[in-house]
Amino acid sequence: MSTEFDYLLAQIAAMPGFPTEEVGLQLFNQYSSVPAADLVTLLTTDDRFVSYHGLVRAALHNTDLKSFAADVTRFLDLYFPSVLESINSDESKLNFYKDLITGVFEAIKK
Amino acid sequence: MAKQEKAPSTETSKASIIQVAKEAVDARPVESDLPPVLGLDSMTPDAILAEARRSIVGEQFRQLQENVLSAQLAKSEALRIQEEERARAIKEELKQKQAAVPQQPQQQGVSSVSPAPLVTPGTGVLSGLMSNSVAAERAALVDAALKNLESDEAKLEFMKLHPELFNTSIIPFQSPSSPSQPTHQHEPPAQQANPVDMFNSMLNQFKTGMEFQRALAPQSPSIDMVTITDKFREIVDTTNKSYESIFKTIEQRNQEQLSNLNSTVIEQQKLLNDKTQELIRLQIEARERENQNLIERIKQLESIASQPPQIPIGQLKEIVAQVRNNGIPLSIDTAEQERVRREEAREDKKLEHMLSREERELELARLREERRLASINSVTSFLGGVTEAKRLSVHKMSPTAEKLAKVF
Repeated sequence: MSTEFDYLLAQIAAMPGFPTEEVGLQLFNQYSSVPAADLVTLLTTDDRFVSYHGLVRAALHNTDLKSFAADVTRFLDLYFPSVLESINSDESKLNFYKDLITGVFEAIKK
Repeated sequence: MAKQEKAPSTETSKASIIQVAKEAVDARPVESDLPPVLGLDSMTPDAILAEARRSIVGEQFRQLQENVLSAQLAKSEALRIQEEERARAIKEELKQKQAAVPQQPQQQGVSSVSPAPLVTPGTGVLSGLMSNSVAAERAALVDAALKNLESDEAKLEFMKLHPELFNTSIIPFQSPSSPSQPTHQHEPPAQQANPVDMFNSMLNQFKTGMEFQRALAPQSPSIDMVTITDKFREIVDTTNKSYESIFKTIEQRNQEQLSNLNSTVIEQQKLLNDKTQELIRLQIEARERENQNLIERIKQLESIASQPPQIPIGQLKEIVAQVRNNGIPLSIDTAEQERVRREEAREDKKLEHMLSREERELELARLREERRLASINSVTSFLGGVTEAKRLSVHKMSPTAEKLAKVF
């Protein structure tokens, strides 16, 4: 478990305006129909991602895809458990989730 | 009788010449084109005449000459006509005598057979009757010659070239109007039958003809150029005298006009000087009045400037407001009011300054409070993040999550 990345995720969860579980589920269902590659491109070109890219990449130093996916899954399990249920119940959403996590990790590692 | 008639015609001719000359001189404008001044005292009449002809009335003088010449031609023509009448009278007398001759055939044959050479009055006792036929023939010859000549100049030239044809001194002239003619023409034939009486009669006739010729000698029909020249010279002298008098008159008139002009110029100059002095005096008076008006105007302006302004209060306030709106400080208050107003303005500026400073202090306080609040939020967020991180670290994944985490 990466403590530094957990701390970043906790800071995101502590930021004001952090969405509730219902809003998160609604956003996930809305963006799940979009190709994962396009969504990754959209995330990596956002100004906030660009500004925090160095910090996030430093936090993910010596972290592999499996650890990264475990941290993200635990985060979702804590704040958005309904989203995990939706992913497990639908194969396409599972594939979308896998493609999205893989794409974001590769983008952070670049 | 002929002299008495000739004298007035000569006088009339001279008078007409002088009249023509005077008219010619008067026709010229004296003021514009005066003839040159002639020294008449030192010049001969011919020189005066030539100078006058050249300078003043050359054309008129030429006309005058032509008139004189034409008068001479007319006179010669009159004499020629008179000569013709005489010749005609002689012919009639000869016819009458021829009609009387058949009663005396011897004498008629002598007189008619013999040709008529030019004879002098003293050549013979029969020259009285014989010369009548010769004169008639000469008159006929002259008449024919003059008729063949058309122009008067040619006739005059002919008279000059043949003065002997017109010289009646060798012709026993017997005018038909002569008072002695009827006694000889109507002489009874009985007296002519007596040779002594006939001789006496012829001698008397010859004497009468000589006397009559002698009496008529000045009236010779021939053209005597010496007489013409003398008359012409007389006319020229008269004309010269007339011109001299005319020149004197013109000179006198010019002097009078010059003196009149001088007097007029002097009067005009006096009048001009008077007008100029009057104009200068009027200009000086106008300048003095203008200066007086300016002085009075200056005094009025000074009195107006010394008086307080008479502008209405409302209008004055509008003017002051306009001036102040343009950024120019202006006051119409008294000194105390002005001082109070300045103090109030100073207080206002001080208050405005204090107010602006307080506003800046409040802004700084607000910024400090925001910064403190942001720091508190940041600390709170940090603490929240730490809390959330602690919560995330202690969170045990559900079986679903574990299953999903094992997918990768």
